[in-house]
Amino acid sequence: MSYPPPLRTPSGPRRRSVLASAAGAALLVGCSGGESEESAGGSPSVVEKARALAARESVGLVGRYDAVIAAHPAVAERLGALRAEVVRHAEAFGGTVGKASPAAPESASPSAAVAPDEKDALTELAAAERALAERRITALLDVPGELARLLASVAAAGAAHAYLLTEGAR
Amino acid sequence: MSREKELKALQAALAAEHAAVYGYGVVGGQIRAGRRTEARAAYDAHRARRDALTREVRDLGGTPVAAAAGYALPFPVPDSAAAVRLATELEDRVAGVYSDLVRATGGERRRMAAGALREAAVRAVRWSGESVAFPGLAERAATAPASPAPTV
Repeated sequence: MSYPPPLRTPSGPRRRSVLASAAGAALLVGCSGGESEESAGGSPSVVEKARALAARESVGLVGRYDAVIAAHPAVAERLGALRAEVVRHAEAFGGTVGKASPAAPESASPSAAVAPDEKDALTELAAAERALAERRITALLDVPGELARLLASVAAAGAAHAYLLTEGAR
Repeated sequence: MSREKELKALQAALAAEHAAVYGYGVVGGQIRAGRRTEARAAYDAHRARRDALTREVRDLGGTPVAAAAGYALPFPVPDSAAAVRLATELEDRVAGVYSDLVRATGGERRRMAAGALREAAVRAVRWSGESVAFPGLAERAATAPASPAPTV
């Protein structure tokens, strides 16, 4: 291990907070707002299409969570918080999610059939999260800044979910 | 997106990575042996990001921001539990600047920023065990029901 030795923290004007990371936070102030989605590039219809697709995909993912929970009730508690976040993702993109939708078209398709083994089912759900995150990181290259930022965050959340669904079981 | 905004966002990300590298130095000194490898990997990852951002800033004609002489920690870090909490905070902070960098850039830089945001979010849940609905989006964090617990 070769961590740098912790430096003594000066109390003078050079003191900065790791969290506030003063320079960064201050510099960013001027970056938010400003351009509208349209003026930042991308026609409204392109933006709306991308947003609608993102919403549909999140709603579809909620359906997969529901299918796994229906097939393996023992994991319901563990998946509940993650499912709730995917619902929030769908809503952030303008989508709506019903109470519980195991009969949703997405989960009724053969590709969404749930593995009989609980661990396999979670692994598949993690793979679905990971694949969707990957698609979003590609999709965000073609949309204006604000939607790209949201897509990036949701993709990051999806990757984190995938981790919790597999290795995070402790 | 303007070059000026892009440069500002890159510099902000660089400043955050400087802070993360410093912070992980503290984490490495306090974390329990079982998680030391993980801390080391994160430390190395942030150093690599820092170096990459330094190059990006230069490519845009800017002068890369330097690390501060010292950083104030957000809370005392006397033991492994606090070190884990600090590591989580560092990743949350880094996620925030990368989400802004995604917005301010395009093309390969945007892809890089999105990848860095994803890595930070995964490391954050590795440390905390808790998911966050919108990593890096401070404006949505206030209403997050699944935000990391204050104690780990």
